[in-house]
Amino acid sequence: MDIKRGIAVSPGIAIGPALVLETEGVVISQRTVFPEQVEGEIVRLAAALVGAANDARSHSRSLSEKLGKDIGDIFQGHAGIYEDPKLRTKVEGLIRDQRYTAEYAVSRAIREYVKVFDELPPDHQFVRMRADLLDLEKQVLASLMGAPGSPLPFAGEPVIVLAHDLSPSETAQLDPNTVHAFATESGGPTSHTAIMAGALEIPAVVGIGRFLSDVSGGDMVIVDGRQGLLIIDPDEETLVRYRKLRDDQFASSGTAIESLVDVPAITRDGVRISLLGNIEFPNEAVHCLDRGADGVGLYRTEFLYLNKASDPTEEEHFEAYKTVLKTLGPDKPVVIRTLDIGADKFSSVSTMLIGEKNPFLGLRSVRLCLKNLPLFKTQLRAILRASVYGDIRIMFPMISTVMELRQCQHLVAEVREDLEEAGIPFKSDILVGTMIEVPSAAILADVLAREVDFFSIGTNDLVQYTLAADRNNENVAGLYNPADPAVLRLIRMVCEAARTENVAVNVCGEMSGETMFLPLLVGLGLRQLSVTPRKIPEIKRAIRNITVVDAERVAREAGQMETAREVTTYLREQLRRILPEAAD
Amino acid sequence: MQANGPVRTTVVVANPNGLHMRPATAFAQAARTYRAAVTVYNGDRRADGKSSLDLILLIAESGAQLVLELDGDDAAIALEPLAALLAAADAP
Repeated sequence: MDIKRGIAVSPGIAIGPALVLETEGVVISQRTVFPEQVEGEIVRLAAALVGAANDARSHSRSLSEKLGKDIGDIFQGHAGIYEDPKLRTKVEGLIRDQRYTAEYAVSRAIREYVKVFDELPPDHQFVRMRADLLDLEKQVLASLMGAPGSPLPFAGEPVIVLAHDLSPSETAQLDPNTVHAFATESGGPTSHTAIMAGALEIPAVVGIGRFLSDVSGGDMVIVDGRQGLLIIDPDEETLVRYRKLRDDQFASSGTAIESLVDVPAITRDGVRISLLGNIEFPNEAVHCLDRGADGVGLYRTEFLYLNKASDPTEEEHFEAYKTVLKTLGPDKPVVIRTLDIGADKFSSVSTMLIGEKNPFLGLRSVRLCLKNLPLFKTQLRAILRASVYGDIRIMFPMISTVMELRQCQHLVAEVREDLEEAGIPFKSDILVGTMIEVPSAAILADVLAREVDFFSIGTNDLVQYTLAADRNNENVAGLYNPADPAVLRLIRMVCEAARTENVAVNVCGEMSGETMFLPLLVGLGLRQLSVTPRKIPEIKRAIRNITVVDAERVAREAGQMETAREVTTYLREQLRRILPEAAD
Repeated sequence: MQANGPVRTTVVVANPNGLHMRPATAFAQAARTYRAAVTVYNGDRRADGKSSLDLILLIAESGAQLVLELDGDDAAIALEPLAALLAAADAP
């Protein structure tokens, strides 16, 4: 049994077989065979090794012709490994002694070798070898699984996905009905893996560091999303304990939600706080409704673009927005955030910028849209057309200057004219706002406030840009902290500007879903929060336990502090006072 | 030098990329053509010279000082050619 620690990003407990994505989707479905099948596995192994060696040699020949002997030699090297008697002896040993399937034995053997290279410093000459060995594993597995009579993948059995990292496209491909949890080597609390796990409402642990060589597809694993643990090959005692925890968890979560759905989110001194939900997919709108949300405060539209051979059409956008509006009804607001990702995620523009050195500071999000008007207009048209179904609103991400905002507004006006000319119906008074996530926007909030109907503070990126720390980089993850006094000052600045110009403001980043920040945010003047739907009951409960007067005091006191740590300690104390059962 | 005892020599890895997959495979293939037992040492790591996998696991970087040991009838004639392959100066 091996216990690995990482960052808990989505709570819950999952127990099940591992699906290791590093082998690029080649699933090892079965670990062992019956004694009478062992000789059969030996034969399969032999055939697979011969097959892989032959393939390597033929690659070697053809590549030598095309690209020169040096490249061809790489595959000669591989062929040599497949034909190495030591490898065969080792794998056969595992098959005979442990009754492993050929696939599982190959994976275990190679991963033992890989571990030797894991111990090397990152700049060592031989670090490449690790990737080579994993490639060899993949080839042999492919050779094994391509053969007739190979075992079937887990037929619908729930799996736990393990990977170095999960890109949005990869997570978009996973079936939420069969993926019960994630655990990744890299990543931080606001990485896409964390967001996806939150959206799917499954446990996830990230930033564990190297562990993939210690696990093979098919291994039994436990993901503890509360404590941030990944347990590989748990012993019986641990398994029993976690099974109980998991069953208890199901029992209690149901009642908490039900009791809070129909009560309003009002402070003890009678102030109403609006609670909205953050969604990625149209079918999450129903989670918002189930949790009693007042609407959708952030519909992240990137997922319409991911994992597609071509950009989504206006119709695809329109259908998605219509679905959400119809689910929520005509009176609940749905705020659409226009496209917020980098060029690398698109099919139509990815050739534009290969290898930007600073993608977070580069052509992404609204900047990309402003340089690609047809793309931008398609989305805006769909949003306007969908407005006949309900209270849809538009907001622009990553606005960093007033000019940018004005350009976006002009475009909306153009799209309105186009639709009018074509006789296509839409609501003429839809609300248009901007995200405040770039420090320049926060600093100029008073100017921006005069030009929009609402603000939405995107704390994930605001924290990142203000502290100049990449939220996905484990080396600096400690600097990234929403409790930092600099961030708090900017939030205060934005709230004051909004108040002066009578503009609505909400917070839609992960900070809004952390109960500890609730009194502070309300105290700074926020009356609207958009959170991941799963968190709505908890935040609502906190709202019902505070007074605005007290919250303002908390905000004032936190505002005097100099370090994130002081602020965090103070906020935790306050939380313990208000909601003893919620504080850790 | 005794006819039947093991023969040894020290070889410095000249290949700028170290003893990686290609030179390791080339060496192992050549080693297998001889009857003598072939062992390569990198400090306290030991490899069967006829296994490319073993050789890679020596993690012999460029400049590493290896000890090549041959034990068998044809040890004497094998020494020079195998030592040259191990140095792998010409391999990419």
